[in-house]
Amino acid sequence: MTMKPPISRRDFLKLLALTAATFLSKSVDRLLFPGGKSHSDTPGVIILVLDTLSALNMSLHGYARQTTPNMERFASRSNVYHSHYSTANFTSPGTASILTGTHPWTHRAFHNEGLVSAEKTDSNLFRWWGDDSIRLGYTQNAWVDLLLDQFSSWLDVHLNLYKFNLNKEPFYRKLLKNDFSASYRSLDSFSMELDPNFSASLMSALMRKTSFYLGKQAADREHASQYPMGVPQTVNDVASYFLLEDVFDGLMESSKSLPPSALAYFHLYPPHFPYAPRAKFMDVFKDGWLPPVKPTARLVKAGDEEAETRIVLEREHYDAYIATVDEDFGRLFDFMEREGVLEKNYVVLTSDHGDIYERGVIGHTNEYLYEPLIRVPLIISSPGQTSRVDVRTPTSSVDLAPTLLALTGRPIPIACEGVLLPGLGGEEDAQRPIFSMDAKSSHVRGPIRTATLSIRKGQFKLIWYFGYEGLEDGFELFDLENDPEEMSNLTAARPALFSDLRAELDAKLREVNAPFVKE
Amino acid sequence: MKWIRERLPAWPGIFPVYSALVFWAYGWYMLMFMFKLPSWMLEVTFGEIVAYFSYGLILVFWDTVQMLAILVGLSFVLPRSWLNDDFSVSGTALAGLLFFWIMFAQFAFVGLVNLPPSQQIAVLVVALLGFILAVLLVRRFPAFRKLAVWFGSSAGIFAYLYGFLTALGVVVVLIRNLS
Repeated sequence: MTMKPPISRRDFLKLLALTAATFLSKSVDRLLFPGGKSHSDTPGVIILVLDTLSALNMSLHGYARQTTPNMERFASRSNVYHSHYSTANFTSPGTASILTGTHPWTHRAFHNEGLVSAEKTDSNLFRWWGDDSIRLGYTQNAWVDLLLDQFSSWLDVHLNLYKFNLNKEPFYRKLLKNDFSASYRSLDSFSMELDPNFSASLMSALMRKTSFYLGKQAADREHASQYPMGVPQTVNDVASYFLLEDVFDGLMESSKSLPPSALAYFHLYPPHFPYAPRAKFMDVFKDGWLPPVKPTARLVKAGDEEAETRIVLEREHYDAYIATVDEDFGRLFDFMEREGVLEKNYVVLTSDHGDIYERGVIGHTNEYLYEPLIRVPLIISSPGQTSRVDVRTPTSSVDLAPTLLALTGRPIPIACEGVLLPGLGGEEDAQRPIFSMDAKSSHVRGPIRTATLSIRKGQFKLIWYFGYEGLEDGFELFDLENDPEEMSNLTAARPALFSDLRAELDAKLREVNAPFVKE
Repeated sequence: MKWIRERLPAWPGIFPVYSALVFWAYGWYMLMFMFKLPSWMLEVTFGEIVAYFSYGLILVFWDTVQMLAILVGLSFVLPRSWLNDDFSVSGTALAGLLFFWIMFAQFAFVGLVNLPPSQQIAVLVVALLGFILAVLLVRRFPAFRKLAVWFGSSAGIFAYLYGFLTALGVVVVLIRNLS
């Protein structure tokens, strides 16, 4: 009688091949990253992205309303970047730039629900971080989850989008998790879209709407004393609602349980529309304060401007929601201080883009690159830092990835387009061009033909609108030092400066379009 | 079991009704898909678009099954002479009306959800009256009856066509999720 071996020959060969492949992949990584030492003794990094937080609506950056007292407390022991720019005016490109250290024209995630182009997917912060410490990703924003899903091979922990929500994940999401991107885009975002009008699916969309609204209404009723405008929720496609305190409690738990040297990326939905301020902040900003009246935005047709009363009211709600988020951030900050999280980690607070309440425009689903839309906070607390450092030189969201890699002793990949942030290894360079872009109507796999581009250089900023149907191409030039509200277009008054910046922007566009233009 | 079987419409009577549902539900989906297609073509590959289309086809198939279940359910609970005896014709007319009501419910959803309960019931009563009216029309007026019969039999081709496409869609979705 022969004894059956504990492992078959076939299984043994499979195991051998797997071991060799693992060894080989680590060796390749070492070759690519010659710094290749273990990083288990370096500080960790916690990145907290608050979606749609405009720096211009934060008292930290001089806003007239006291919206962010707790972030100011955090700033008192951090580096504060006062002229930090997102590369874009909405989530997909703005977030992709944070995670890849590249501009939208490189990562190509510049459409709604955009994805990083297939050939660039392996250029991301999680991969560069290496696999010798934990990499965690969590977001409430489905568009960001699409990106995290793209990077999931390099994520050790990808927390479920519904993890801290009041409503549960729909059953089909679990079934289709292996094909999240396509199934989300087809089902959640298109066929069963929660938009109040028509969806492509008849019954399933109606049932999804019914289930969402009834559940949300019940939650709104239950928490009406705390959230008079309804509990916080995401917009249509994800259909989730939550209590802000639950989410921040979840972050506290997650950050406390992080092992040393981990990389954690938390991307929260608030203060994104729809606004859900707490009761205590509802009337705080009904103060009669009004921002200066500005010229109507360039692409708004006469008669299409939002009513001024609505703009004022929405701004009030936005400010109140920021204050609500700030209150919870204060709890998180106290917790991190108390638990020593700030001593062991670089803690980053930033946003993917801003919001606008002026010039006849509301929100950020538009083509503009005015300051409220692209200037976002960037506050970085280094382990053990006790005093505040203010940096006023313009910086870009593409700078974050290379800076964090360098701070934790990792090499900066060639793919990164950013530079080290001043005060954290980099030098102040006021003449460095900072670019932002909106190109939702351009082909992802073609040259950028319809877009708004901006360049900030020194105290000046040039915005270029081109390719929009029925509208003439045009420029706006602002002196942000003497005209921070972007009131006066200087294209006629400063022809030489305009010409220089225009040439630089034009050269950049030619450069980024070159791979897509046939000779 | 026999009692249940007797109250359910026969398969030859169900098929035209299902075909009519397929016509409306898949037709609407195709229309919406065509509207969305240009924006997808700007950013994703043909293969991805096929995948999106496949998920949608399966969802719409599920929609048609649910809608058919509503009509069969009505036939089951109502007295036989009301709907069951003439299911293929009355059901075809009701399929169109059901499509209309679902569209209305989607369009006016927020308003409907926020109506006081008494008004919500009133809307439901109006919807039911519409169903009764549709059945009366095809029963009393030969022209409507002819139209319903013609529509139910003509729509059969769509049931086969979309059935085939949906089967392909199932294969695509399975491959993407199991690979």
